[in-house]
Amino acid sequence: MAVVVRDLVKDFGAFRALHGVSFEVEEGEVFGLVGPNGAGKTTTLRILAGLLPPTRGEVRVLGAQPGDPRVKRLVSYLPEDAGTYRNITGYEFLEMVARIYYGRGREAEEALELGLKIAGLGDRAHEKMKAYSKGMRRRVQVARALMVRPKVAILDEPTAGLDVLQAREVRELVRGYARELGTTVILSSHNMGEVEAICDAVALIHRGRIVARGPLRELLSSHGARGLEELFLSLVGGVR
Amino acid sequence: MSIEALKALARKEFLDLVRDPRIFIPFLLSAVIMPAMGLVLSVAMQTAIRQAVEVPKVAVADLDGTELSRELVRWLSNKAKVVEVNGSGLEALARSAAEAEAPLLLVVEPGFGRAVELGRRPSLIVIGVVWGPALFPPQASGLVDYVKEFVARKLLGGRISYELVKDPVALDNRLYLAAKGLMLSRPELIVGITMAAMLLPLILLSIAATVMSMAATSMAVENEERTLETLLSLPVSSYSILLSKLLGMFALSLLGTVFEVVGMVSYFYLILSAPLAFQARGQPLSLQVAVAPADVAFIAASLLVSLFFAAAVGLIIGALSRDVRIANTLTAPLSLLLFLPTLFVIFAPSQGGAALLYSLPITQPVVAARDAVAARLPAEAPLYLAISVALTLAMVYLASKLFSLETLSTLQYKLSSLLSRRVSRGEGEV
Repeated sequence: MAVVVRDLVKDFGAFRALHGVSFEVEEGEVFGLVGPNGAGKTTTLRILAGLLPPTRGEVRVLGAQPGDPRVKRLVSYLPEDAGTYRNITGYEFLEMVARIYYGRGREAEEALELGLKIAGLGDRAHEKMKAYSKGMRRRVQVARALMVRPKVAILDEPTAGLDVLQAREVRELVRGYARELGTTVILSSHNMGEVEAICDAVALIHRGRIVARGPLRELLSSHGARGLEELFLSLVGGVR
Repeated sequence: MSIEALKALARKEFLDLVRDPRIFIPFLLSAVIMPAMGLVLSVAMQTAIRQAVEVPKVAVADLDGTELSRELVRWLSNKAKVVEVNGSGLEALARSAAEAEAPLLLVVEPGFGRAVELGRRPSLIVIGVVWGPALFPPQASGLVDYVKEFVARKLLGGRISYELVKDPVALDNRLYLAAKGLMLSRPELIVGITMAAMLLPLILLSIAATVMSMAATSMAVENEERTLETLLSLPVSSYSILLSKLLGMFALSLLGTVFEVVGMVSYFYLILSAPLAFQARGQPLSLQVAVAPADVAFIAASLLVSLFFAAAVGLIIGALSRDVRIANTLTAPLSLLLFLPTLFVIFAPSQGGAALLYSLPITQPVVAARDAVAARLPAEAPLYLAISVALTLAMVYLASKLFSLETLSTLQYKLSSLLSRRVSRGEGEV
């Protein structure tokens, strides 16, 4: 298993964000964590990325605790609505990431080359990122996450705020490169259609609890639902 | 953490800052506005001084009409442009002087020639003329000096030279600066030394305040643009992220420092050049005061430590701020707090609270600069430097401990709540 989460609890002061969340993600799988805003998706992903410590429960990423320096090199995390530096170019940003991971060797050059290919910026790679459209900035971030050939890529709402065309472009990038690089992808979304389009397995999360999980097609057929939205509404009864 | 990763992050920091034109606004303001202010003030001062020592045009009313008073008018004509005026009463004479555009009116009263012949003090009246409000009214001292010289020469009658009476003692007036063990050949030199001792701390303080503000803004932008989360997810330690930020900002602050120093030195040069231009012959006042190379090295090292300290404080402020607005709100009062001990350093006597001032990273280069110029560095200076380094490292360590998403989120939330409560309370009062 690439990721194992068992009875995960996370408290922020008196507020409990996660109530015993459990799920597993197989290697090479594209896994979707689906739920409405405030369900606990981002908190779960931040814990998997090692940015937040769990209050209780077991979390294993590639067999180690999240945030372990050895694991950190193998895991990429794309925060929701991640910004970019306004005054440096896309090329410089991707070059910085390559150097952080690989120094100045051949590996760094290859990673930069891959990053530029994924970002697809063309000549505009040498323009400051403040001149980029939202879609271009998101492509740069996706490229940043995938160019280092991570074993696990954690993508929080990778298409949030993008228009239909930009969102499809990013989805295709994620799906295509995940397959090509053999990366396990865990992505969160409140867009059910998007998850149906690219995920092999899903977990539905609502108010900090997993309400259903499993391979996408099995889950839909076992509940007799035509789509994720129908399944989700039938499980939570339309309650926010 | 590899050096290459640190360099890559520091380079990103530097480029992102240096390409933002807004960063240079305060630096350019220092470089342009301060000399402009200095120029305006120096022109006004030079005008006032010139009026005090020069007599460009003078109206003379010779009411005495004796041979001696006529001789005085001729004597003055060799020194300045003289216009003779007539009239009845002082007001009428002053009006005539104003019409003749003479800023000074000399009235030689009846009995002038007779008094000088009898060896008595003659009576004269000098009236300044202005055409409206004036910051610097016409100065009569130059004219009076000429008249006094004329009368003195007549009273002496050639028996004793006027120069001997005017300056009867060959006086070598010196000043000993005890704190520095320095003998000044002229007492006025202390003005230059004092100005230099005040100038250096001001320059150092403004650099530290700029670096702190820059660090706070840069860090707050990371929060505002949500790039910090990306940085924290990279395989680098939070300490490395902090250090790279400090290095990037430090490189930029050195660049900005050049602008600030040029501006401030130009300002003081222009201000000081006004009185210098009219100094008596001999040694001019000078800002160049002997500072030992070891003292310069100490100040440079101390300044580096101090800038790192200021940047670390700025980073903490920025890290705790969800956006740039909050960072700026916090930075302004903190900068003022920085000013307080520095003002004490500038104006306090050399001995006051020296150990404490020398141990704090912010005040150390300031007090050292003052003492290097006007006094001597204490023998314990290296020990104080070590204490300052230790305090700075502690500050950087403390800042790195804050660099966890959970700690920052919690503190940012509390700080925002506190500030918004204050704002809403303030609005309620209005």
